[in-house]
Amino acid sequence: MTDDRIVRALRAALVDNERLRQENDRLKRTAGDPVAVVAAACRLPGGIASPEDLWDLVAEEREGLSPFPADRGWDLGALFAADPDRPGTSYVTRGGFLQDAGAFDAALFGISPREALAMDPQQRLMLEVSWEALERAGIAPTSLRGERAGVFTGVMYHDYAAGLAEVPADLEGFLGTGTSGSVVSGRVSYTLGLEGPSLTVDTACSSSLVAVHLAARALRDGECDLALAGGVAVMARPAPFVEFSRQRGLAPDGRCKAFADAADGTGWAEGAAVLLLERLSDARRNGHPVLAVVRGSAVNQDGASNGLTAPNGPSQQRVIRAALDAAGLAPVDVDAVEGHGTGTPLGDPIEAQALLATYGRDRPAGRPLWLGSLKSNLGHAQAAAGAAGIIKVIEALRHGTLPATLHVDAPSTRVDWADGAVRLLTRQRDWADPGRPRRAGVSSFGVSGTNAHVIIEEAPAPDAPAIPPEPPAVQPWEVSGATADALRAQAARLASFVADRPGLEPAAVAASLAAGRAALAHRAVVAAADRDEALAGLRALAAGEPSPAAVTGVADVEGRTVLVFPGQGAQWAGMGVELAAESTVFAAALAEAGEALRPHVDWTLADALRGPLDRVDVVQPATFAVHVALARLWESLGVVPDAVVGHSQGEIAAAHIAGALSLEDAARVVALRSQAIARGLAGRGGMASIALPADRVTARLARWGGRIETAAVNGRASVVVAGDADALTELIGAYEDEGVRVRRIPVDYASHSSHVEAIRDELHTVLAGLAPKPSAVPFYSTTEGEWLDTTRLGAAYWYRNLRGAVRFDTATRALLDAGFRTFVEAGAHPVLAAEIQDAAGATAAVAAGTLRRGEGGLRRFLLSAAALRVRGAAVDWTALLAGQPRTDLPTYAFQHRHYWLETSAPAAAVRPPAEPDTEAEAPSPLAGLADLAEDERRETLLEFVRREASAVLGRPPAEPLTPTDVFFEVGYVSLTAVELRDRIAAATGLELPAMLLFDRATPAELADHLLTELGTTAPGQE
Amino acid sequence: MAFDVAAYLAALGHRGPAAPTLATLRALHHRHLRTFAYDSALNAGRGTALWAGVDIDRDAAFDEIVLGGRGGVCYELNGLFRLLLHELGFDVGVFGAGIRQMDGGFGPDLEHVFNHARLDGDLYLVDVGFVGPSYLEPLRVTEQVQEQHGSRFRVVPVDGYHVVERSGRSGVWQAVYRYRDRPRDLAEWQAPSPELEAFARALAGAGILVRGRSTATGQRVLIGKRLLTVDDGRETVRVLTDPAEHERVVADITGAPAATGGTR
Repeated sequence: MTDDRIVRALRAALVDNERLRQENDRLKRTAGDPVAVVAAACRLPGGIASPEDLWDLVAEEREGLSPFPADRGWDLGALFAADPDRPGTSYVTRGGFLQDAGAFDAALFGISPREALAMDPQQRLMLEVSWEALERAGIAPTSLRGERAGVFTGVMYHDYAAGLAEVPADLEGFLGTGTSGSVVSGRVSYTLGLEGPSLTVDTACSSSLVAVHLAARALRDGECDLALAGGVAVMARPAPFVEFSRQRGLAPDGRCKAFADAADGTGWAEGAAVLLLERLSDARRNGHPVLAVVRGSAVNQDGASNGLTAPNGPSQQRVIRAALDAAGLAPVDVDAVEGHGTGTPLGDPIEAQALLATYGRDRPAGRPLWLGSLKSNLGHAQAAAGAAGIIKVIEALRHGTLPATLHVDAPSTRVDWADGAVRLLTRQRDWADPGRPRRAGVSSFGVSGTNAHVIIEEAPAPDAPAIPPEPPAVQPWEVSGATADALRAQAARLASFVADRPGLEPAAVAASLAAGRAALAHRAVVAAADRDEALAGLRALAAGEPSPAAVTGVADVEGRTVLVFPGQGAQWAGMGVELAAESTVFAAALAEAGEALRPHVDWTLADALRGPLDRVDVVQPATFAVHVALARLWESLGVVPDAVVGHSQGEIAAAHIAGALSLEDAARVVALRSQAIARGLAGRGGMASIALPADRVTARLARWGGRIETAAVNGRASVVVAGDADALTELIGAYEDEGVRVRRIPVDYASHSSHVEAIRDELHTVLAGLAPKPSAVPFYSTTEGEWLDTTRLGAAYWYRNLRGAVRFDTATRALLDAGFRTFVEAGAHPVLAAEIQDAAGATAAVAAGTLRRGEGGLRRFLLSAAALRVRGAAVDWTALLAGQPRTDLPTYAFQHRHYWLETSAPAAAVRPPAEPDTEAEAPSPLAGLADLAEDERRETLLEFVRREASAVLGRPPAEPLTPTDVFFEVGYVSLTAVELRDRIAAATGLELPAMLLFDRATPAELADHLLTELGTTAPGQE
Repeated sequence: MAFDVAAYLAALGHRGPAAPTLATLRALHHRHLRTFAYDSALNAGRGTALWAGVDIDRDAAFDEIVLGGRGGVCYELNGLFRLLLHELGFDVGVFGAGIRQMDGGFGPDLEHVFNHARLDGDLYLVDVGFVGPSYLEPLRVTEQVQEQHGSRFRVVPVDGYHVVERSGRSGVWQAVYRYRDRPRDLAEWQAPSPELEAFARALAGAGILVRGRSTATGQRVLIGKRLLTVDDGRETVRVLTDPAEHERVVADITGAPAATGGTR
């Protein structure tokens, strides 16, 4: 080999080494990134609905057993027999059952009641518990669509609807997926749109622990970034009890006496438990809470053991050692084990011996391994047991306490406890700081031979929290629900949660609500300056009462957004002053606009805004500045226009926001043009608004032969005219005499009329040299009545904008026709929103103002934003609340109904109790009816019927039935139909049949009927 | 045409023997409900004297209903069917029932006229004159649950009455009506009864029409504009606010006997 070749070979080897080193680093990096538990949620026997409930039960050494459920169609009369040999019977009469395992909120998940009925309750439970787990991590469950989030679910029962003699016809097509094990995990992925691996694990009683092991591996391998891992077990049929009764495998009293000498069999239980797992580094970066760390885990098999279902001690030892190896730990590094401990006299001793042979060895004196089992409290939750055990360990870590294991008369005499240092937790112990992170192992062994062991470690100390910025003076608290009832219930939950925690930082609540909860269809926003105000708003929401601090609505608006800039008339002395003090975004934008105006004016914006605003050359530039700054504030909340439209001088701000005019050019237009108006037009004319259709006004104007012209058409019956002052006075007088609503606008010039021609040349001169650009945002011109190429926004356009009529009605219709649905009037006071809403008619569109006269602070801005948000607009509060700390919040108030295919139990009524009748002393709601004109009587009756009809259904007063709602299609049943009949009969004195609503199907029909009936009878008389 | 067994069986589409067995009773009961509509419009002209004609003119009723194809009310439909069963050799008699009202209570004891039959030592309720939802085939008087076309039925004793209860797929048990276990004589309806009169007055005042007809697997019950459809034990409610659709459904229910298998 020549030297050259040696050098080349050495070089190649070095390159290889480098490649291997990098590969090794990558593996070490991901393998070394521990997996964090960022949330947990569960439903377990004893009414446990959260990890906190679980801890209370365990810490108080309570049990969760109950008699067999009566709501599953089980023949309880024939199920029990003391004789263990009697076929078809159970000698056990108690178990760890989930209370109302059939309860489900189908509406939240967009599932029809029919499909819900056909769905295995295990699928339904995992939807709800997964939703809760995400919420508990501060993740909006609807925010993960398309994300690499995995679902790993342990399931072992597949018996829902299995006893059905024949498939009911309308459930055909649902039962296949409804009862499939794979769909338990798949449906969670589907419903939440998760695109990471999704799989169902059936290793029987070790299923959920194996699922956690697989999820942690998938996270470490980079296969997903977030994982829901856990298990569920609901016994749809009593077969497990019958089966194990024949084998005499059940404790007659239903209690698992784990590792006790008195152990006499296992006790079946149910549960659903879900952990949300994430790589620790990601959890830290994403600001998710870290409850604990999955330090290591392992899975193995009994192999060819003594029997298919017999436990195998040596295999159990191996799985524990493998988990310790994976964690890089020695037995002495672990303080406790949550044992499988099912309470069988044969299985428990094998497990204890395996623990003695592993964890029991090489421990210093006084540091035994502490052993217990949750099964002693709840029974054996089977496919959910391992994940439930982890939740118990997490809570024990949080509380620094090792809870007692129950029912130990004495440690099992079948175990040679002297063989190592393992002790039973016969009483609760402090979990003393061992000088390293506290750790506990969790074991599960499946009947088919698959063993799992997971080592859970105390969460590392969190980083010191950053000092949050000063919170906004008023904060939006957004709550929502899939239904109106859910919204009310959610508000009630949040109110009581906050009331119980006086130390809670309001800004933290607002920020956590904004970022960590789904925005569902029925929405409300409370704008609150402090905790008390927030509580009052929430309580009003919960009671369905109106509150000045709360805005509610249904998110029914879908479509693009328009920023609408009003012209003159929205201004008021003091506008923007308060908001500038409360919003840095607004203040900065306002200052910039003031700076752009400065070269052209001899006043300062800050002074001008305080008033008196009595000169056109101050009013117009000041209004422009406020409107531009409001638009910037809207944009900071994510309300970015898809189009802009302006009314009269509002087109100048619109042109700037669209990107057509620089701020400097726009400021020049508004300042110099308003000065030309002051010089050339002031004192010569006037303007007036008239509440009549444009054609009727135009016809009327002919009499003055061009001395008055139509200046603007704002809506269906909203016209502005301009012209000579004396002619205008005559017109106003004439309309007033006729009772037409007419109002003189407080200006002394006539914009949008021939008067403007006097300053035509001047405007062309002073505005020469503008540099309009093509805009990114489309600009609908109310001057031209069409979409405009914004390079045309030069001096000539700004003259025409002042000379021609404003065709705002044309713009509104065109925008609505083009599919724009959210109209945000960026103004100091709303003057156009009502016209837009009127033009939209029945179309689901929302038009909102921004500030109001005399209400110019952040509170009004937030209430306006809330009005858009509750209707579905993309208002994002997070920018406003950036940097605020997060806090735990109550999870979703599921609106449960009972779904169970084989049961005869009635479906749970979800109707909230009707409000107590507090109006007994109030005068009759129909008092004075007889004195009204016929159409007013009908209106009054209709309102009355709608209100009563809503009250009977328990709906909030803010959501009355619509006139065309069909009673029997919006929740009415026989009893409520009679109740409504009774109320109406009592108020009207009419004799009405019980079947009234069968014929008078809607509030409108019923009101018409009452009108007819009352025509011959005065109210209150027979 | 005078009452005629062969023509009656032909109208019901019954072929083959009609021996007085449970199988015959079942088949005829279900076919009767599917062939002849319940239609309270026929009460409209009767004021409060709703039960004056309980003892029907058999030939006239046969002509109008069995041959003419108009619907009928309880005592007409059940009266005709009772005559038919008697002719075929069944041991039949009359019961009176109070129907469950909307508020959960029951109407007067003699509000509803229906039949019973004794077969092989068992007592069966036989009712082809009730709009429903109810049993499509004769119901054995027992507390044991009997399943029929997706609905479940039982007869439970309460306060000296027997209450017929029904539960659809939703699983909720609801009373259909209650009766006293005492064969009635049609003359009982002719005795003056303030209770019945008040009840009839309320019904007449309401002016709400009740119509219904059974299908192979359920029933359609149209009260006013509210259409309840029971199919294989599943109930759906629709309210026919469109007058044209309402008219179509009324015609569909009360029209000439529907082809077997329903019209949907």
